[in-house]
Order: sequence, then structure tokens, then C-alpha cells
Amino acid sequence: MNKLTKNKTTVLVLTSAILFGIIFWILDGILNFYFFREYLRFMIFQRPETLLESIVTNISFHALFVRISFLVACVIAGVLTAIFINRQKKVEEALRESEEKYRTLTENVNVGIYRNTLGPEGKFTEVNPAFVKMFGYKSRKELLSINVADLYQTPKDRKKFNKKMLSEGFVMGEKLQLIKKDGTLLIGSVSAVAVKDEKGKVQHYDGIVEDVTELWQAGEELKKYHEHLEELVKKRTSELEGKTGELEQANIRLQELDRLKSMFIASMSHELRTPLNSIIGFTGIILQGISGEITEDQRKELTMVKNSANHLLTLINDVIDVSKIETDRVELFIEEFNLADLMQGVKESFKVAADEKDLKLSLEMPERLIIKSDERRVKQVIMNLVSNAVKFTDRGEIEIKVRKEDKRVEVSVTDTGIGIKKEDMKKLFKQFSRIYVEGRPVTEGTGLGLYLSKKIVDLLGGQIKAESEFGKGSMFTSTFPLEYREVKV
Amino acid sequence: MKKILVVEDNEINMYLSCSILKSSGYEVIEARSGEEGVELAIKEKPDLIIMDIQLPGIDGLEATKRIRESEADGEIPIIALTSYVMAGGKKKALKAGCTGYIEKPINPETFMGEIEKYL
Repeated sequence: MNKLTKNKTTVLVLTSAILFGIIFWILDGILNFYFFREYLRFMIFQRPETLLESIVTNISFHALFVRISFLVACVIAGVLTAIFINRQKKVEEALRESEEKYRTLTENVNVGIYRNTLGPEGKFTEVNPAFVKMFGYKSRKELLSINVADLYQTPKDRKKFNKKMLSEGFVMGEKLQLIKKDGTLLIGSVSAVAVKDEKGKVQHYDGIVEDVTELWQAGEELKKYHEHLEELVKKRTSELEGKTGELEQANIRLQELDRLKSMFIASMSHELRTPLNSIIGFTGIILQGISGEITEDQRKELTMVKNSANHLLTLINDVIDVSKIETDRVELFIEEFNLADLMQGVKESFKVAADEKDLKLSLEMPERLIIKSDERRVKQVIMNLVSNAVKFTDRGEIEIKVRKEDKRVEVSVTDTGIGIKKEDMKKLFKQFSRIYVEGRPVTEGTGLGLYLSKKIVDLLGGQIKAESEFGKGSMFTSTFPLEYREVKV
Repeated sequence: MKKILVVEDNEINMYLSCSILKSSGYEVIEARSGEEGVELAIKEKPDLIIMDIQLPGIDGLEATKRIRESEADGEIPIIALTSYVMAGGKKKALKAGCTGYIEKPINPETFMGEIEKYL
């Protein structure tokens, strides 16, 4: 208890005691009057000697008793009153403190707080400063003078709001389009409750308003963007659909073209090769002297014709193979065969060419080696490797080695030829890539040989690799599985 | 003199084959379709048949089958002329009853060597 309240309590006790004292004094007076009256009556009607006796016996003790009682009663009453009043005061003080607290809260908070009456118009009975400021009014008084409905942009909204409040008793975060004093839009997020009396009748609304105009505008902007985006997506989708249709058309055309291409290749391969048959065949006949003696010059020239024709044939065959590989139309023909026979055949076919360049051509392999693969394709790859070796070797030897491993066979072709530069190694297996060596005449070829070989080896489930040292020679190694297994791609 | 039947629809190829065979001293019988080939094979009983596979009408494989069916005694060697573009040409030819095969185009330098292996 602080000093102030202590003093107050003292004052209270004193005041109360004095007050009660006065009251009892008056009462005492009345009582004294009663004794006085009794005294007078005694004086008039009784004997005088008994008067003093009467005063001593009756009045003195009586009066003393009464006065002491009065005094005690006065003090007790004073204290009681003081306690009562003090308690009442404390309650009031607490209430005032609490009110003060909430008032400062409502006054300082940044959210509009209001209380208003019912009805289509409605009047504000309480608003906090934030509310006044939010709506751009000069003072609380000014706001209290207008109708609640005046703050709504459309009267319909007010009706809807009222309806909801009456039916549900509250709203939470209701977005309302409101109007500021200067006529600008304010989007308020309103939460309110309908306050009822004991009988359940709605008395007024208490609520809070938050200014969410910026948020709302951002939302609207976003919505607009969203709509724009949707529109854009729709547009793009329809564009894409159109494109898909076009693509389908194009695809059909492409398939048709592909079919035509295949037909073209099939027919061209036949048509191109038929005349070659006769060119190669008859040059051969003339060169062999079947149709009469020829001069040396004629032989030389006809040999050129024959070689060119053979080159053309290889070119045609390679192009057909490439087109088959690229359209996945390679038909493999898998069967068991003796690789030794095949290798002998390859060696035989290069014997003349090797002899012409004075190259030693050796073959080292088991006498019999049965593998299951596509014989013609295996031969094509090995022929290609040996042909390259012969082509790019000017002196020395070409070694062909066949080695059987656990589940595969390895064919290596080693030469003492010109070799391949490091930077050219990665170009080796690319189509139409030809490697030029300075000071060396361009060798005839299609630039497809190794590309095809690699593709074929891949198809057969094998591997092909090259090792080389420029100027010293190369070694090409190709492996094939002993038994071909279809590879699912 | 040994008789060789050449079944070939292309005139130039026929001329080429015949030139090589004749210069090597063989008697040549010419057939320009599969049907004619079958007929002449049965009638003439040649020592060897060179059979082109791509033929108008019945192809070389079918003709070979028919010849094999007609034969009572020993087989006449039939050498198929296969094309490069034909996958498994050899197997197909052997399955139809051919004795061997030569891949086109004909190389006059090695042609007779191949043929004489079967005579």
C-alpha cells in the first residue's frame, strides 16, 4: 500500500468515524432528551431526594455505558465503512486502469476499431483514431455524424453485410469495397461480431477494419497476369495444336518419302549395278584376252576402267549399307561358319594387291574356328580393315591375327604403314571423314569404310578399336562374339 | 564337251557368261526365264547350271526347287548368282537346293575357277 492510499484510508476512517459520531451524537441527544423528559416527570411527580439517587443510579451509568458503546460503535462503523469504500475504490481503480490500457491500445493500434448501430443506415458509436485516419476523416466527431452506409461503395454490400451479421452473428476477414472521405477506393478486410443483450437481441456490431487495398490491388494485378497467362497458354496451345497437325502431316509425308527413298535405293542399287556388271565383266574378258589380243597400252587403260568400276561398285554398296544402317533396315543373317575359311578367302583376295606393293601378308589363326554370326558382314569388316592396311602401307608387312578368347574372337590387322596422327584418331570412325596426309596422293575411297565397319561390329555385338603411331603403323582390332545374340536397343 | 545351262534374263550378263564359258571350251545352253530354265534342265540334262536368282516369273530359287524335284538320280550342280543387296542370299540359295553361289557382278578372272570347283 503506498503512502497516498494510506493517507486516504486514514482520512476515510476519520471522516467515517466523525460522521458516525455525529449520527450517534444526535441519537444520543434524542436519548438524552428522553432521560431529560423522564427526569422532569420525576421532578414534578416524585420526591426531590430521589432525584439525585435517580441520576446516580440510572442516568450516570446509563449515560456512561451508552457513550462508551457509542464510541466503540462509531469506531467499528468508521473502520468498516472505510474498508468498504476503500475496496470499492480499488475495484474502480482497477477498472479504470484496465480501461485506460485498452483505450490506449485501441487508440494506438493501426487497425480500425468501431462499434455501430444496426439498420440499413447505421451510426457509429465508437471509432478509434486509426479508423478515422484510415477513412481520411478529420475527427472522430465527424465520423460519428455520418451514416455507416456512407462508407460503402455500393449500398447492396451493406445489405449483404447486415444479412450475414444477423444470420451468422459474425464475419471474418470479409473484403468490402469502401469509400474514403475523398472518394477513393478502400478495400477493407472487416471482422465483426453482433453483440447481443441477455434476451439474445442484437444490440450493435463491434468490429475491426484493416486496409488491404494494396494487397487487393496486387492480387488484382496478379489475377490480370494470371488471366493474361492463361490466355497466352490457350493461344500457344492452339498454335501448338496447329503445329502438331502440321507435324502429323509432315510426318506422313516423311514416311511416304522414307518409303520412296527405300524403294529408290532398292531400285537404284539394282539399276546402278546392272551396267556395272557388264563394265566389270567385259573389261575382265578383254583383259584376259578372251576376245583377242590387246596392246600394253590398251591393257593399262582397261585396267584403269576396271579399277574405277570396282571403286564405283564399292561406293554403291557402301552407300546402300549406310542407308540401311541409318534406317535400321540391316537384315542380319546369322549362321554358323568357319572363320578360318573366311580369313583364308580374305587373304586370297588381297594377295595380288599385296604382291604388287611387295608387302608381306601373313595370317595367323587356328585351323578351324566355328562362330555364329553374319558371315557376309564379318567378312565385310575384315575386308575393310585389310584393304585399309594394304592401301596405307608402302613397305613392310601386314599381319592378320585371329585369337579365340572365352566368348569372343579377336581379329587384329597390324601394318607398318603411314600411321594416324593423334588428332585424327577420333575422326576415324566418322562417316565421310577422310584423313589427308601431306605429300601423299589422295587415296581412293568412300570415307565410309570404317564408319560402316564400326556400325556393323556394333550390330553384331562386337567392338572395334584402333591404335596407331604416326609414321610407324597402325593396328586395328575387331572383336566378335562367338555366338551372336540379338541386342535389344 | 561339257554342257552348261545359263538361266539369265539380262542379255548383257548372258552374253558375258556365255563368252567366258565358251572361251573356256564349254557348250552353253541359254534360258531366259525360270520356267525355260526348268524345262531345259530336264530336257538337256546339263553338267552344271548357272542360275540367276532375280528372274521374271518364277525366280531362281523356285526354278532350282522344281529342278531338284524332277531329278531322279544324281544332282546337277546348280550355282546361284546372288545379289549383294540380298541378305542371306547364300543360305536361301543352298536351302532351295543350289550347290554353290557366286556373288554378282561376275569377275571374269575368278569366274571359271569358281565354276570348275563344281564340275
